[in-house]
Amino acid sequence: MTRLRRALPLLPVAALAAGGCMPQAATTQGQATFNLYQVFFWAGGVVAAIVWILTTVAVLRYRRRSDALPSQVRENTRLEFAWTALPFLTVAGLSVLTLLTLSTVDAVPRDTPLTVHVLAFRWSWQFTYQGQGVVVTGDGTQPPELVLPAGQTTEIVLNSADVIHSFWVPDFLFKRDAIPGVTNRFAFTVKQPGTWSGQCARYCGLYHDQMTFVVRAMPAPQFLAWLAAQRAAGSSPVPGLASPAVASPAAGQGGPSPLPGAPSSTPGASSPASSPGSVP
Amino acid sequence: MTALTDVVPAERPRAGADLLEWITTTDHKRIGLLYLGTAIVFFLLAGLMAEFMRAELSAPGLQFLTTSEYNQLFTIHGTLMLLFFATPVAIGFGNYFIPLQVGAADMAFPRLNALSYWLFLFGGVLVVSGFGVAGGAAQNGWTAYVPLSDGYTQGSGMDLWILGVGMVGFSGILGAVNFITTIFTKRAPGMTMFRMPIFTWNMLVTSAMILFAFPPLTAALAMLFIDRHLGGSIFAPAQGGDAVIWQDLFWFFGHPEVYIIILPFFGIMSEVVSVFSGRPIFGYRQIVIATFSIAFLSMSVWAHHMFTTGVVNDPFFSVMSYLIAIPTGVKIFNWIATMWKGQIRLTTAMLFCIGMLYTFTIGGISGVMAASPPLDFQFNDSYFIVAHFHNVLIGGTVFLTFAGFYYWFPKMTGRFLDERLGKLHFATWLVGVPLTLLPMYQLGLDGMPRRIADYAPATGWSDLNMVATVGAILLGLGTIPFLVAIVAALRQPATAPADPWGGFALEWATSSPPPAHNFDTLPPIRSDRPVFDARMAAAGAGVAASLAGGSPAPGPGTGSVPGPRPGGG
Repeated sequence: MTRLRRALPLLPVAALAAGGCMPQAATTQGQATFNLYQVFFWAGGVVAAIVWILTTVAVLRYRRRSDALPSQVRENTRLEFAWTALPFLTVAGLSVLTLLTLSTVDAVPRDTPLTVHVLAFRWSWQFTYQGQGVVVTGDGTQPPELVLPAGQTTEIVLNSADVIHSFWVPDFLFKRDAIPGVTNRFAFTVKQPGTWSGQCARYCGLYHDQMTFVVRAMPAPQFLAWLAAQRAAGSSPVPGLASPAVASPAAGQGGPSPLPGAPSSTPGASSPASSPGSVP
Repeated sequence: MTALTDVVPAERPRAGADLLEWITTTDHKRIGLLYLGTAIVFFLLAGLMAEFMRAELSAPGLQFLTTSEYNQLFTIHGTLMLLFFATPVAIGFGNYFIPLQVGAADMAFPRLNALSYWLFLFGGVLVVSGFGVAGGAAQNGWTAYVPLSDGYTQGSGMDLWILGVGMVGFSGILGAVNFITTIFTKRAPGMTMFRMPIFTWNMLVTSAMILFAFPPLTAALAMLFIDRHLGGSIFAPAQGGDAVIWQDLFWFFGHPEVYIIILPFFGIMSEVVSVFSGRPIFGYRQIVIATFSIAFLSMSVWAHHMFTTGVVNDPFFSVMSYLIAIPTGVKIFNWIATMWKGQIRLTTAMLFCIGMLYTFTIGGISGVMAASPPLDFQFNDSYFIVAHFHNVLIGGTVFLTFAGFYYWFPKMTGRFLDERLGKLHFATWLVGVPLTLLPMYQLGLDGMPRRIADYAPATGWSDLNMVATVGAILLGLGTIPFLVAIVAALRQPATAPADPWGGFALEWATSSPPPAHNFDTLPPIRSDRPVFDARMAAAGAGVAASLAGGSPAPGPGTGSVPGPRPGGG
């Protein structure tokens, strides 16, 4: 029993740890989120430990042993004040940390070296490199690649051609909804070259689960070479790469849609994106 | 064998008459039982859908379902669980026990009460009947975000969903009006507001929340129907509509809704913990104030579901959401303080309440995390959120529904649910919940979105999904002893005494089950525990004298009840 009691404080920590490991962030903005998560995780662990230990002690110590009428005390103002004030101070502290982190994560610098317009559509993505004449459009056969320079801040301008989607790169610890009629802007700085998977997070209909993409970050010189190569490829698109002649989706709702079926058309049937089993 | 033919014709008309009596009943107890029985059927149905989904997700690839079937299942699972199980099961308990707890003979509007039930039942039938129409049931999630559920969804499954949800919305509004009127006008002499049991208090606040929250949902559903069938473009951005306003309307209903389906159960928790600890609920007034705080705050946190839209005031809704954790935490400490220095009886009902303190707390903490917009940018629409709300809804609502059943079953039927089966039921659920949900938290952090029928093997999500599926199977198996206990109990003769647990509130002052008019006589009501007072009065005249004439909260630091303690101690 004593050994059990001694181990009790570890239980909630172990249980939380079993389901609470945030992946390391690949962006500097995500790093701020990661740091914030650690604070919440351990604060939450402490709160869970307090509740679990008090409950366990109450059950073990005050399990019925006789027919005696237990204490009928029904109030204690000081105690009640304490367990109102302490949570208040806790959430006040968490609020401050949250707001500080939020301003970092949401910051969009004025002059980012690169702006990419991301258009979500059922059920893939189109990436338009602003001013570069390069457009990458997913065709449903394989996830389209969003190629970025590592170490530089990229601004994303996010739109949707049909229903609401959500642009999510789990390793960036960030997602933002792509909403028809709304233009969302955000920025991130990928720390190191690498490849990460991304996926639509907002349920968008039948093949929502196949609406994936890939983010590939490369050193800046290589990225410039990649851009040049795409421009040179020009009108002979490689798989997953559309002709630069496609109008920029930045025009938003009024602009041409990569889909033959515009919103309010019969969904699914006319979509070029995916058919069952088309994604490996 | 001739005896058999003699018996059958005699019984047939009686069975028919029984059925007719149930269909035409306006007795709040029978309507309560209808609500509870129907809600449990929807719970089992939606639970079965969850098992199908967990089976599908246990490994990459589509093994059992098509993508469309999977999408229908999670839509109807969520709709049934929230609107046709969690809300009606609270209304069922409220129907049965509010009149009893305030010492009334029935609800204020018995026929309106019957109408509420039938609207709920047929609303549920409409939603489920979607599986039988061409194109299948609604498949846009229980949140039915536009424009997906608008111009992008053909088929009558979606329309059946709109009508069914609209009907249960009306049902809830009518039920709430009835509860409020009953509580304000039908209380027995001596039953002041601050002598009402916490369960009745919580149902009062819940009813008020329903009055604020459900009409926006009904309005949003009407607008969606107009868009779909009458040429409207309210939610169609291509025609100048707004795709985000649906989310505001939906969550202005949806977030109060999550408290609508937890506050009644917090009320059950307060009753059960207090009775089985042998102590008055600790901090009665603070709990009532906390309930009101939760209700007020719950009206101003809806957009924390919309942090990732980029068009809401994230800091405001974040801070409001943090604040709501305070009254919830206050209640948890009050329950622990009620147990402290008590004489805790570990009945199945009490075990589910203790289990709630362990499991619900994790869901609450993950909820505070999700109230932080930067963290929510990772959690939103991922399995982390799925784990979070299942954690609070299973750890809170479902655990306390079970507690309510084990606690009140003798009162409702005159029969006990078997305690050994109950403890098996509890043990499997206590293990099954973390086994199912902890892997989901990690899956969400690792990047698994919700509402996906399939995932690639390369994602590395298979192992955790398999663990979650094993947990879900355990939960399914763990439900069997509960059902067996109900069936077994109903086959026994009714033997339960009026007050089998040593209860406190007025429902224990009448027979089990109570007569049609509820009470032959009422004990004097001079505190929030009239049945406890009467018991003490019977045990020793001195105790009754010291209890009489006190408000339930005599004042800071002077709350202890003096007097001789029966049995020494």
